Amino acid sequence: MRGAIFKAIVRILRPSVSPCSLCAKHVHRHVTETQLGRKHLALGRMMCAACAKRIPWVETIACVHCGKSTACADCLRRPLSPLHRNRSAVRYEASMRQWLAQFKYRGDEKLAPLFGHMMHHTLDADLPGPSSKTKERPTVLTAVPLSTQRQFERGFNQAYLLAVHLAKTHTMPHMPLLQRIYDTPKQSSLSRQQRWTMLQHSFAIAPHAWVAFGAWVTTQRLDIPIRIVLVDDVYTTGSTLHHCATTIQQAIDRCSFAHSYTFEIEAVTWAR
Amino acid sequence: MWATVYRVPGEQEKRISIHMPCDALWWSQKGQHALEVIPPARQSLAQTMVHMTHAPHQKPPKPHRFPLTSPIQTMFSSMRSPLLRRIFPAMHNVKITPWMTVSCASWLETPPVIDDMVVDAWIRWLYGRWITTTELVSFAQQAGLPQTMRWEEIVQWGILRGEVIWQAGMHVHTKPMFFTNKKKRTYTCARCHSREAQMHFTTCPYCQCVCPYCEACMTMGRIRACTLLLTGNRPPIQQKPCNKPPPQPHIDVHTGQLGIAQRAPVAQALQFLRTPTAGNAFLLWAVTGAGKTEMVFPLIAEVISQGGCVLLASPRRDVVLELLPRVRQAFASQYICALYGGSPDRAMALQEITLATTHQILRFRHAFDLVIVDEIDAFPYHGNAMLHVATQRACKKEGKSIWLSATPPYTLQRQAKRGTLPYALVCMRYHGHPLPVPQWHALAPLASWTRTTTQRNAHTPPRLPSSLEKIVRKSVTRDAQLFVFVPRIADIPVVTLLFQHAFPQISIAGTSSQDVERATKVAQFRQKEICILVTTTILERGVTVPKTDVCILDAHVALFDETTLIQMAGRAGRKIEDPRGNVYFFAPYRTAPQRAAIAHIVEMNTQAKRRYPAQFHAHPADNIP
Repeated sequence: MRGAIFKAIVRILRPSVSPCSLCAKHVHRHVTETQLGRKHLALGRMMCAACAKRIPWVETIACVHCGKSTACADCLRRPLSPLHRNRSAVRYEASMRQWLAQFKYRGDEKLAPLFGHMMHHTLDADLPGPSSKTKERPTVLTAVPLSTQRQFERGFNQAYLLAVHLAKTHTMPHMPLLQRIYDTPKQSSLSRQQRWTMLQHSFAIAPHAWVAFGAWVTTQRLDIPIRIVLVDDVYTTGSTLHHCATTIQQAIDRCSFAHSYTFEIEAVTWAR
Repeated sequence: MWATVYRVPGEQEKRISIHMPCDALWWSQKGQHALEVIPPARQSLAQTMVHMTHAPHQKPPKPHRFPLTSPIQTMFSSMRSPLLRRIFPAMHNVKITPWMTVSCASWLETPPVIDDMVVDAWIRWLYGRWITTTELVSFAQQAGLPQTMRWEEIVQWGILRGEVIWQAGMHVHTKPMFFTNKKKRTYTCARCHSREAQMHFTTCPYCQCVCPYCEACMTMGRIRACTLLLTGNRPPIQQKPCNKPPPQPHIDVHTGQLGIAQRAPVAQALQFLRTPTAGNAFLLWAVTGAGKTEMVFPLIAEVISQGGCVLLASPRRDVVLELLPRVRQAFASQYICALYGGSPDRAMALQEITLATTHQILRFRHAFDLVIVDEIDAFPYHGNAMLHVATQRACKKEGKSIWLSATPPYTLQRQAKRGTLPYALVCMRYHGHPLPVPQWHALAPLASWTRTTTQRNAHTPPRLPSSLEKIVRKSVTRDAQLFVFVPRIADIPVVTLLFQHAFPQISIAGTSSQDVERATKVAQFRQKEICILVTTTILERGVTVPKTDVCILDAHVALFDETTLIQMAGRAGRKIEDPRGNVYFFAPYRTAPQRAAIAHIVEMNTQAKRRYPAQFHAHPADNIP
């Protein structure tokens, strides 16, 4: 009893120092916050200054279409697609590859909020059009789905976790509009051409969510285009996201509300 | 993972099944044609464990407050609402009967086909392992086990035969909370024994509820509350009564090669292995360069000749890879299984001799008769409760463990001296020469002579202090290689640069834990392509180079404790070709760890001289009392 009281007092008096989610070193919040700048205050308590320093943020956008920081040949090579644009938080470099492996393959789900916070500003980065603030644009978030088998192997869908986090922090609706009907082999083991053909018919609309989406759309204003934002972890060649966008565009074209509303399909990824 | 709680009619004992058709087949073969189950019939394995912790006469536990529960649970929880009670008054009076009788035939529409040969092969392979079901499936495929049955059937049949022991991924226990005395459910990882702090709750696709996973042992594959951990308790055939020659008395083939100082401790350790009442742990305290590996061979030979299994564990992967060829050479007739991250042997059934990193031991349970842990005071083994648990569990209940160290942790030293821990001390190196005693030199702190902007050297570029340069030149002229230890990684480039400036004709390199080319640089240092290596404590152990001197800069820094200083000093004079290296401490003042390290080395030399006066090659200049 006395020990419990003592422990409780110590717990109250102790400074709340949390370990860095990535390297388990102690986080001194103010140091990391200074390192990251005012834009990413929420990250300050999750990662240490050394890890924060290593993040290769996407600072300048060279390709307007896919949000890459260097000139990209992919966008020229690809057939025209309904995916309006993509924005990413970081450049996909060796250190980021390691972080993603820790999250995705080793299954460290506690990193989801950290990755989500890193993506926080990608949602409203340089929006085109008259009303440029995210809050004023009706937006719905959608995660790129995994096949049931892959989800069972991994234990979770990393894109879903990120989408849920973004939806919570931006107070936007999150609807799982898509489902994966064919299981394709791992994307990282395929060539560019193979990826494109393999993915052709692997996505479909999830009927229940589509009904909810239709109901939500009818409550929106007619004059502002509605944003559908696909969320994924990495944009490599973009084939997955483009196929998702095509599937959604085809479904919209078939719908009754397609004539009265305009839609923009965008993507937000953690790395590019 | 889903499971079913059931019992045989007329019995009180609750049973859990992961594959109900197997159980139905088993019990119908025994004449029971109906079983009683607790609804819902399929539950999360974590939840079935909650059922098991309650005795049958007690009230059934409250269901978990999961967001997604079974329809029956949802139904009853909704009855708590007064409005619903008013609408459905009849349902409110429904009496909950925890047991429901189900006919076996309902599970046996497509009865499982049991092939005993397949089950036997899998269970033998499982002996001594402690692995999850996902690991079981992938390892079994790699090991080439027959794949004609589903793994659930094999495992459940093994459980029914009593030859597979299983455990849910987490121990569930309830404890009263502080002050309110409310019951709180807590989880402990069944593999690494981590507590609440390491648990992370997420939605789980396997049991469709919120269940925790363990963060501490995630590198070895994720464990959730609904994961199944498995082991077999049926030893492989070759383990059964052995026809091997009886153990040779006292000195066997390998002992003959040992030095005089090694023989008595090895005899003590052998004696410890032979007496069952001698306790479970033995400390072999051998000075740096005493030849610990050679001393281990007779112990391994002893246990193998009795038909036992031996594990030789080390905290570091490099050490395992270095030991492997030596052990393969010593025990040429056996296959030596080497386990480390990404090793090809990982799917192998239990072998008589296994070399492993301490993390890999997490995958074993009651497998070995002797567990030898090398360098118990090294990172990451020292102070890591998870790895201690792992080594204890890998050892059989009546098995023994032997700990090797040159600088045992203080608690173990105290236990040894008090007599509660049996131990043997090897105080002399195998070549019989004394340990090099560190020579202390006063030198200003590193920061003062590496900095470029002090007033003193504002106009002259920084250079190596002349006293340091003189000593390094001495080593260079006697054609010895040199280890230069610095406390911080950030110091390495500057110090390397200053050395290169002072000795332009000599190859000098710096390396640290963050260096990608560390392995190649160490290899170059071993082949004498690099003469001076500037490094941190990362290379304090495991590196043996024939002719080396050691130079420790900033030895007063708190980062260099007694253990580290002794280990670094132990890099010199390890080989018979050059048994007397030089060790230098450079510091502005003497600190307690420096004094203690020097005192320890002198003490060991004194003991060696006293115990083995004939074999100890001491110079009068050594001043050993």
